[in-house]
Amino acid sequence: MALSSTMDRKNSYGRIKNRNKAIEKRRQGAPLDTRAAFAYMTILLLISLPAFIYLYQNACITQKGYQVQKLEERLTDLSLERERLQLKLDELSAPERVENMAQSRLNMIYPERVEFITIKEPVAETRLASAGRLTGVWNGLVDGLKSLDGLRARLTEVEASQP
Amino acid sequence: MSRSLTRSRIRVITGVMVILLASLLVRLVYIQIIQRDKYKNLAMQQRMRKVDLPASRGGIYDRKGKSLAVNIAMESIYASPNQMSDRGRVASQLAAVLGKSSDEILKMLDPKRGFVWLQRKAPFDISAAVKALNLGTVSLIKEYKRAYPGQELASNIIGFAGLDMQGLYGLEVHFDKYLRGVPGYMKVEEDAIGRNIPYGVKKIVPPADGQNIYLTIDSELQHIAERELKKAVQNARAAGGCAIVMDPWSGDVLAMASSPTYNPNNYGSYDCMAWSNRAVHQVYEPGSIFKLITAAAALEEKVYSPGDTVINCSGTLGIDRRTVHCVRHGNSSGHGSESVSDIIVNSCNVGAATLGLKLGSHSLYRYVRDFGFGQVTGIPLPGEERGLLQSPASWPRIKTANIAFGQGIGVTPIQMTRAVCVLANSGKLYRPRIVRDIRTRDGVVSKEYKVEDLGRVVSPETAAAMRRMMQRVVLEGTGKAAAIEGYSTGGKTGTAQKVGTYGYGGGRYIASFVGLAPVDHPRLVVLVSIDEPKGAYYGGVIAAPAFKEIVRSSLIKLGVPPDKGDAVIREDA
Repeated sequence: MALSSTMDRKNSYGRIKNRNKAIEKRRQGAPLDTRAAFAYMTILLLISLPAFIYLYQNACITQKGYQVQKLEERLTDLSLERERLQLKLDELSAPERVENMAQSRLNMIYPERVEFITIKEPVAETRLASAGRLTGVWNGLVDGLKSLDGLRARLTEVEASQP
Repeated sequence: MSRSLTRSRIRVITGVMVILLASLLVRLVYIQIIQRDKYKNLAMQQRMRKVDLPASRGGIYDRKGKSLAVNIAMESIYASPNQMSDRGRVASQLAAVLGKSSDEILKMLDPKRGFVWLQRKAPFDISAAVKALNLGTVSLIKEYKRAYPGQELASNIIGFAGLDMQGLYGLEVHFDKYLRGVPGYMKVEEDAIGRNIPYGVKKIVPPADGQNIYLTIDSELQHIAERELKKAVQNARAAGGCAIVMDPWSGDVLAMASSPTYNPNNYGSYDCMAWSNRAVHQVYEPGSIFKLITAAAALEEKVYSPGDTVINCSGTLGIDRRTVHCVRHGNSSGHGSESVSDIIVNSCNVGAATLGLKLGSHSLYRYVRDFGFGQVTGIPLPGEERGLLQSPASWPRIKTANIAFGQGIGVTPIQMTRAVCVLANSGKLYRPRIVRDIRTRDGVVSKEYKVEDLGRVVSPETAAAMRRMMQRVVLEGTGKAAAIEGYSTGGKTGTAQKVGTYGYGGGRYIASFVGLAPVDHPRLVVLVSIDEPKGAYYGGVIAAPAFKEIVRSSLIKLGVPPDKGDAVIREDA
């Protein structure tokens, strides 16, 4: 009995000593196990990578957004430029200006007399001419048929007179 | 012993650190969670910026869609003097660009002010030059400016808008509520250097742009009327004038010219009298052109037929101790025996007075009202005068006689033109139309001004008889200068004395001619009136030639074929 208690005391003393050693090692910053370290790094990377990707995406989108804004400003500037040019066009085509230019630069004058020209409609005449031709053809057919009838009647008379 | 002291010190420091961190955490929780809304709003206010979105003012167009009033974007230049480190340098750089002296600009750059306008709506080259200077404390902002590409074309009708795009005169003010639209705004998040944050918080209330107005005016006919009126006024060295071209079958005003006129792009540099639209603002005694109304009334009431002898004109007519004198050129004797038609052709005051007295004051008054006098026509132009027409109860006989030949009554040019349209279109009175419709920016008609038939005034037979009389005026009477080659024309001259402080006299007249063409189915009714011509002052001499040129050019522009035998017509095989 006394021996086992001595052994127990020795073993517990050993465990305590090992534990203190381990604590002392940790306190001194003893390196972790390599595999554990690799595992920790991998987990960290797996967590932080999506976050980085998300942040990068946002930054790109924001950057593109600024570019879009610049293009929209450019579009606005071009629209305004178009309005200015349209106004310029309207000013240049104002009746008074055109008249002044015609008189001063092209030496044009108002006509003393105005000549009116009537233009005959060609479509109506073609239709009439076609209708006339068709009528002529029809009349020719009718005359032909009448003459055939006459010939048939004559032949019948001749046959009847034959013995 | 020392180890336990160290441990206790560590515990104390740790405790203090924990207390500090805990208090920081409590403060963080207080700010971030408990006061969350308050600080969130503060941050938003700091980041959020409200941008006004001005509504684009609607345009004004003629009947063919040609623009008469449009908007153009300009850049207004402003400065923030209280942020300037060297105002003198900025002033000297701006002086060369803005065309002002350095001292002048330096005075504007009050160092106590955070915002000062340097030039509103600057021309494009000036704003580009300011932009190129790249001055941090001088910026540009886009604003719209009203522009009138036709310059003086139809300016007395259109009016003008002010610097802040508000209507101030003419159609611009009359239709301001349709033209101006409703401004909007935009709230955006911006970053530290003032750029909008893309995809940030954004609230937009879009502006409702103003609507466009389409007129019945034809720009080409308007130009013709303005050109000929200007020529007539200049030749007569007159104070001013007015010309109106109308479609008698719808009441459409195709042209409405007024002299003097102005350029609405620079309205401030003109006398305000130039802004006036004489067609609706000028009230005057019409004189002999009014005899058309008296004669039409007499025929319609069947007091006389066109060929009946009305009077044997001796040159004067005594009425209630007053005397009406007949105006006969170069001859003090009268016109002799006259029918209704002769009275018009000869422009006989005695004959017209006789017609008026035969009609009676009440009957004449009724026809005068039916023809649209003594009341506004309802044309949508601001400040339209109703003219002057007293109740017949107060008319002595001499007044009835005077009104019969166009004195003692005040009319506007638009009233007179519309009345002659009744004779041109076989007897109906139409409301004059100058605005055809109002449309949204998408082209959808939101308001239409339809042709408005106000009723029959005279029968088609009376109207036709009057047109034949008017044709005689041009062929045989005082209106020979209005005859147009190729087109049958009818009209009436008028030379009305203007009333001064002490009555008639003083040598001031209004010379008028009102007419129609072609006679059988008139396409146009035109009135020309010249105010206070110098030298020759007769309507047949001053106004009729302008009428002729306006009608001739207008009919050709409209493609109306000639109806008279003297037209030169060639057949194209």
